Amino acid sequence: MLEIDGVGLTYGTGAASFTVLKDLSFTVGDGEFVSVVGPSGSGKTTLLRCLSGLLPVTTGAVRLQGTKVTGPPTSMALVFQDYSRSLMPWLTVRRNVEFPLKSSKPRRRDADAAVERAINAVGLTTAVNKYPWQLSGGMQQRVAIARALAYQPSVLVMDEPFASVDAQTRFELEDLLLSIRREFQMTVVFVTHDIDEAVYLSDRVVVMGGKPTTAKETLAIDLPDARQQDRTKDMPRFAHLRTELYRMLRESPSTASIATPVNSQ
Amino acid sequence: MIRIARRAFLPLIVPVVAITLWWFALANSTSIYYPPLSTIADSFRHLWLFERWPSDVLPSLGRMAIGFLISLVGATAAGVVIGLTPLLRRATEPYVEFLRAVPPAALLPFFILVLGIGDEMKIAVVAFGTTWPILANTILGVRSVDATLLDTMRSFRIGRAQMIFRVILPSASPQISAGIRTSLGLAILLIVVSEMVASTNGVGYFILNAQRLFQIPAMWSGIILLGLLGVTVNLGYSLIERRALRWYRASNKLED
Repeated sequence: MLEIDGVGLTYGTGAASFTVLKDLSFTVGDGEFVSVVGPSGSGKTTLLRCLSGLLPVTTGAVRLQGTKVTGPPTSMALVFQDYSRSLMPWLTVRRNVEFPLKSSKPRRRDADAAVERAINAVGLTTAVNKYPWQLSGGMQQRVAIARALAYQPSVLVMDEPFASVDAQTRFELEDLLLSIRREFQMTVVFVTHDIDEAVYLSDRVVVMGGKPTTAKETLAIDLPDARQQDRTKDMPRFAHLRTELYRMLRESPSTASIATPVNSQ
Repeated sequence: MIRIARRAFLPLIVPVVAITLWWFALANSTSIYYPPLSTIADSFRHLWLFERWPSDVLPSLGRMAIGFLISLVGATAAGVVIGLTPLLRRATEPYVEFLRAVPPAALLPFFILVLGIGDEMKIAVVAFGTTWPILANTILGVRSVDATLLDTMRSFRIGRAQMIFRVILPSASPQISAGIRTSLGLAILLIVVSEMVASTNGVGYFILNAQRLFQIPAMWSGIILLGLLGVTVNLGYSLIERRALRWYRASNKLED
């Protein structure tokens, strides 16, 4: 279980200090898919850096399986929005995917098998010897996902991972994510500003808002488990949940950048 | 095919025309300062193919290579440390810029004073002069490594050595390479100047000595040799850089 317990983050001290997050709490159960939504600039990325141990919290604590997170945990892997900046252009796809496994401590056994499985899972088998810049944006993000999978995390943390790809690719990647989540039995924390995406993918959605930002509300997504782009998004329940989420977001301040949900897909 | 031939051929037009003009304009020259090109070519063949390589060319190249390697290793290492330590960077940056702005040849008298006129002095002059472009560029390159890449690698718990050698240095290599390019030009310049000022062998010494002995064709042939050496070093480095930084040009959609 991943616990975000009263997390606060303040930059600077005294009069010049600036509080980004305040008393933010929610939990993510093992195997659960939780999306975090909130307006742009609300500190979603800051929260993500806190819960992945990249940024020390000012108050409160992040706990993973009961242990306080003080640095990047071995059982967590990150996927950022900007694949072009998080992949290494001087390495081939395979070298990118295996790099963390072969360079982090302690060195993992069965690294080759894990790399192979991750590459197959995201459908990159024929591109292993290519370089990231020879691939489309969607394929590059698959490389970043494969790299995270090969690391064999129990928690996958993603920061708006599909925000830089076109709509068609986004749908493909969303379904890919759902299938690998099942195959690899991972907990997923998914940051997004896209309401449809949050509802479609998640078991639960945490709505952030306020200034400084805090966790305002949680919405349970009671859609059937097997989700399909066309069928799921056609359900009256999907439309209802999306409207509900939209209302929650609108009620939190600083909502200028929330996209209005459109009913036609 | 035609395009490749044209690209290879185009840069050759100017030198071919210039050399032809030179050849015919001074063919019957009796001026001691401007000997016919054929005389210079004769002198070049006698001197530099390859009689004086052991006595002059190799010593020059050797000192240059040692001095350059010292600066390459030292400046890159220092650049990584400074680039990664914000406090150190703020403390040293103005001085790096200052030392970079000092013409390295101006320090020759000082180096002769403390190191004498032997190989050590020339190696030190080259090492010192070529340090600054590499250092400044390495600091810049290390500073501009993408924050997202660093975050990603930190999240994967990449160890310190791996982080420096396999993430930060490759990331900074385009900038470091720009520094190396500048420094290679400087290295040739500095070795020649230091040999002209204080030496008993080397190409720089040879050129100055030929001038003093009024062996003008020999002087010209030495100058031409330096030009050819400079072009060769540059071309060689370009080839290495092209291969090593292919990813950089491709991922930034830069033209070949």
